[in-house]
Amino acid sequence: MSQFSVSFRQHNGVDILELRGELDAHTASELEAAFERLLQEGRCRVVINCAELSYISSAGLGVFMAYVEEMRSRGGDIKFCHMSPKIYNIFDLLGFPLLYDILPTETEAIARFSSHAQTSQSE
Amino acid sequence: MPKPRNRSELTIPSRTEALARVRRFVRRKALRMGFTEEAVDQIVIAVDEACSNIIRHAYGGDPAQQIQIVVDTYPDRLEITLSDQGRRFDPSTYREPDPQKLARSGQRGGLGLLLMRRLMDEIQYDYRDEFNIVRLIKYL
Repeated sequence: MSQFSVSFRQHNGVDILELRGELDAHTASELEAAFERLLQEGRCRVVINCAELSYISSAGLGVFMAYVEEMRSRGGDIKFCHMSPKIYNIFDLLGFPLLYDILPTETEAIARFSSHAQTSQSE
Repeated sequence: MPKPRNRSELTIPSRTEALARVRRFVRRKALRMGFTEEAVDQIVIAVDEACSNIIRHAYGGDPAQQIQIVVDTYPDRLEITLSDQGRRFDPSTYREPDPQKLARSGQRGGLGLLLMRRLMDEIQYDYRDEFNIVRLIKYL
């Protein structure tokens, strides 16, 4: 059976979701539940830490696709960090690096939210 | 057609719980054949997507059905053949989606077959004796 878990942390108003294990058609519902929980709590600035994510299939990608626009419409976003080449290759194959912010580190991903907020305020 | 050098079979119930077992099975075979780690990852994802499509679309989520997976190794290639008795799939009706458009529209489906086509060298479809048969081929 696939092993997968999601753990939550918060930093400067940003929710950090650490994904561990294999995200496939069986485990995608756990990630979906995590996003539902965030939306119910009105939290829409999310960083996905992929350091321990060892596998992703289209079912996992589909969860991000389903929630990212909702997060953006509420002024937030889903950003990614610590993506291994194996995971990045799948995103890249579909052209997703053009649509999603993928940063090397968690710190940079969190900082991207404040830089966007400053840009919006000055516009 | 020459006989395969080696043949392995696995039959799973049409349940997503079984996907991890399929991935392990296919990974072992592909590694033993000498594919690079990157190519092995590509084969594993393609087979996962094929099984997920069968579970969701051909069998409509009915967990009582079965999927047969046959891995044939040839000197120059690996062939994985998946058979199911679910709803017939007609590849001529398939239109490749634009993944970026799908993503922007918030839709979550439609990427599995696209990934399979981008990750494998060849995909063949057949429908015989009420079985959907999909063959995924990767050359060494």
